[in-house]
Amino acid sequence: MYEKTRVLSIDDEQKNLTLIEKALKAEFDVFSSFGTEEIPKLLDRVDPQIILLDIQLEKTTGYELCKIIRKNNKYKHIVIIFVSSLTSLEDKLTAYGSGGDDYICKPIVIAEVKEKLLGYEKRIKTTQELEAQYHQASDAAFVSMQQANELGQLLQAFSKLVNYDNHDSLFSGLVDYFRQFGISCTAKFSVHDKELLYPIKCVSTLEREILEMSRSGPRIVTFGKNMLFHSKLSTLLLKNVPTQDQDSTGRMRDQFAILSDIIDNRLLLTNRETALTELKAELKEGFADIQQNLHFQEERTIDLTNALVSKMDLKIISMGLTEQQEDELIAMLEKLTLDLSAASTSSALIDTKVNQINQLIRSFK
Amino acid sequence: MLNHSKLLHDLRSPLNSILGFNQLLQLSGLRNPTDTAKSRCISSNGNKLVELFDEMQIQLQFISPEAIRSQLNRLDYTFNLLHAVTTSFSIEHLDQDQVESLNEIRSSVQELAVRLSNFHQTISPLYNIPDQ
Repeated sequence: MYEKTRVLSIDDEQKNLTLIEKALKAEFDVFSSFGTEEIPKLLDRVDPQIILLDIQLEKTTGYELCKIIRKNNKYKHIVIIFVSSLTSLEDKLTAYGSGGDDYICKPIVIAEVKEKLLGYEKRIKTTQELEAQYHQASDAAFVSMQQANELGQLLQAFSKLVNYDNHDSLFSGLVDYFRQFGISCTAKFSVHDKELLYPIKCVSTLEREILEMSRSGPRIVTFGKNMLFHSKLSTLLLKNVPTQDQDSTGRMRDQFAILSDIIDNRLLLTNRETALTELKAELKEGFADIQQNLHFQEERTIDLTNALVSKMDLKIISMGLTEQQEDELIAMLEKLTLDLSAASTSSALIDTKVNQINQLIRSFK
Repeated sequence: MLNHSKLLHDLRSPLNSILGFNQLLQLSGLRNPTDTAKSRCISSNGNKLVELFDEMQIQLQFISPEAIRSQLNRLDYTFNLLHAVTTSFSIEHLDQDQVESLNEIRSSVQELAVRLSNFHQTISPLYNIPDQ
């Protein structure tokens, strides 16, 4: 909203004050004084941006008043314009010497006075805008620094969280992070088919229900001083989130949402790692079973064959065969034994292969 | 020695009101041509008086009593014109604000008359100015 510039007119003659009031009231907020009131009281009451100061006053001079005003740093921004019939160069130099900014001659030309004041008004507004911009820039710089600091904290938390390989320490890391804001945390992690609630055995029925309900709700919910972040594998319920500074709370909400995603990814990875470990174990067991069965079968075959050969050896003697027939049969049995030996070396190859695969599984992290 | 600055400052002061309120009259818009003409007359005579005061500021120290007398005559003449026009200014076509401005002009003219008379009485004996 446009606020009129405040002009204080000081003169010991009422007619002059009335003239200034009537001439400037359309464009400015005009205040009048005979110059007898104490300066600090007067200036604090009116808070002028421009003072039109007559030089010839009843008990003092405009020069003296100007010096008093300029002594106080609080009023250094006020534009002081002397208004007087005194016209010599000496008078003007004295005026500037006592701290005045400008000089208007009496009898005044209203149009010139207005133009001069509008010029100063523009200057004042530009200065005010620059000051506002400076404050904005400082505030923005301060917020940036704060944000950088907050991001730094978050990055630290992130780098810790990605190294936790079990759920208990993951939650513990979260608690440490939120504690620095005075926030307490309750969490639900989805692990395979199970749902783990933290802190262990300390989640109330209400908290449990809220965490459960979050499944069907929006990803981020803010209620009072609490926030709920729901992702695919995790839900975080935060209590006592500071809410005095809206900007700060907004930034926190954004950062915690990122944190929630990180937790989710961490859980996904942890779940996969667990699944992989289980798979490795199962594979190892499976291969060991296969190996064992293979050896067992081999042994069994060798035993059976040896038993057969022994029995046949005995039988040949009592069968009344010719020498040639006996030799042929024995040769067949010998060949069978040789063939069996050859077959058992392929099982050694299988052994080697299985060992290689096991080594690969072990080395896979 | 007399403080000429102070003397002449006292004479100039009422002119600030006269010329200032006259400007307000003009800025507020005078509907009647006679009023406009009279207002212009107030401006020109008022400014003439300012000129004469400025001249006297310097001259009082240098010129002869006769020259000062002549200056005083010009002052009186100009003032009389000013006085006449402000007295004869009709309020018939003026609004309330304009009437107030005219009243301020008139009272300042009265004030100026008094100060001018004092000025005469102070100056004349000092410079042995012959009586009119």
